[in-house]
Amino acid sequence: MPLMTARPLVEARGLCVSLGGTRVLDDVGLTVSEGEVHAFLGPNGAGKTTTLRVLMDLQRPDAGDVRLFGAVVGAEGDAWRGRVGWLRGENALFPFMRAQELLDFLLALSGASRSRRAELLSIFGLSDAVLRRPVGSLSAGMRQAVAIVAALQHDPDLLLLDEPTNALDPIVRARFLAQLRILRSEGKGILLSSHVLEEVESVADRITLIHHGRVLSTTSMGDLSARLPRRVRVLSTDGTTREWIAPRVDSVLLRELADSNPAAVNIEDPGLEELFRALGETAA
Amino acid sequence: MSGHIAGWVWRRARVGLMLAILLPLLVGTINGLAWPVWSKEREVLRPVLTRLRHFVRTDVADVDIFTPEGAFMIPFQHPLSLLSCAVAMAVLTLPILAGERGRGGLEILLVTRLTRRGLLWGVLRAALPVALCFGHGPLLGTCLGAALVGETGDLPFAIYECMALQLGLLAAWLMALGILIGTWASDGAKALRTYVLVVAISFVLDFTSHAMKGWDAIKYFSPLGWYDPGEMLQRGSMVPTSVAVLAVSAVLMFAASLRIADQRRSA
Repeated sequence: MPLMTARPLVEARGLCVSLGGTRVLDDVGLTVSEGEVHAFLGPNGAGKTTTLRVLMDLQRPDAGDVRLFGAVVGAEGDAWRGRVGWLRGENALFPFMRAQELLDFLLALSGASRSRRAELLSIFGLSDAVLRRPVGSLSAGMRQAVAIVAALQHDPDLLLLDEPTNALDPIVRARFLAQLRILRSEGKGILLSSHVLEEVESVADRITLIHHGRVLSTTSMGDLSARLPRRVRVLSTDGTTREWIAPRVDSVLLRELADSNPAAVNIEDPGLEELFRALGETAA
Repeated sequence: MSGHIAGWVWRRARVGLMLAILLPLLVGTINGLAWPVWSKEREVLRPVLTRLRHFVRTDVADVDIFTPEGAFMIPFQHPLSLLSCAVAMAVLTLPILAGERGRGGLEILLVTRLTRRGLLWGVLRAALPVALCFGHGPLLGTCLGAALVGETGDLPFAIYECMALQLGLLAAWLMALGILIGTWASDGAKALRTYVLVVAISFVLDFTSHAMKGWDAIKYFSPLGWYDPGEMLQRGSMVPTSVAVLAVSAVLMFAASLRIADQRRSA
């Protein structure tokens, strides 16, 4: 779905939150549209979870406003409820309930008329035997898989996912990311908060970088790739190796390469880590 | 929606609730069994028991706990009955609201169609029937004890039913207190500390008013002061003022809880 014509599902502007006298969010704004995976990236304590909690009306901001599906959260009713899937960073599922019972309970609270549960259980390998067990007795990975099914089972239009791949093994993680691509193709909006850079790169359309409660940058993945610095490694004819970070491949870089008598040159694909480090250091 | 929450509350609180409800039933049954069997011993201990009766709040001069009527009233105001009432209402409210807030469980619920107010109505729907039925634990125990010792003929069971309803009202008051504190507190530990403090002060005020001459009036600062089975036994009916005070203050506390829930910055 082209982003230009997609309807915005989330519109947040000027969000400011202070907790215990500390400014946790400072003028944070972002949008998530239909058919978009918007990555929300930052180190621990950057303000990602607080932002997501504000979007879900779990934390009231000191300033700023949030629109979900076009309606101001809080002021214009609760029409958004039941249309959002939320996955907490810290798994807080009720340990005393059996997994099946928990999923039934949350589905009933969502008021959904249909469910994708069967499909999701199959994708994440949750058998009937697992569903019969109390959530508290499941492994961390299984609990996270149950939490993902709980967030997706009512077929929400918008997904807010906070560190969703925590504790997932590589196979289940890959299935989860594939599922996100499918959901995006169905027109769902997805806000994916993470500090796992590789998974963000593999699914995100746009990315917002946040640090110390301030948005450093919001850009498309394409633009971001163009801005990413390159790690250049040169093996010279005399056997020495040089390595440096170049902001872009240009005549200056090429001249330096020529001057270093290269036997071999390796320009690595850009990584978000480099960019984040650069932007983070700038902001700090 | 509130029906789902009520089921969840019962599911979560079932063990603690069962234990708390069984206690007054046992107090009533044991009291019924002990009363006739140990009548001689009780007469010997009359001076001591007369002093101790302050602890079981039977200081109303015209109620003699050495009569069958008076003796079978004891389970309704025995400290263990009142304590288990306070525990049951805490179990039904504090871990559900403040406890789950502290561990993040409320967030899972409040991103569904369930609103903050809806959550409180759900807890109320779960806890209120339990509270109102709670007083029937001592009543059942009393009936059972009375039946076992063959004292079923002359006992005023209609008044005991009134006592059961009034104890249920006291439980509803404690439930409203639990909902209020659970809505206000940021986590379960803070909520429990506050609840224990309020309940302990209530017990101290009530005990002081009964134990010290001239201090009668301070009992009205405690919900326990508005719950007096002895007075009901004397009057032969419920005391309308007490019913009104407990009911109205419980409603006001619940209304305050709804307001606090709306105004909380963090869910």
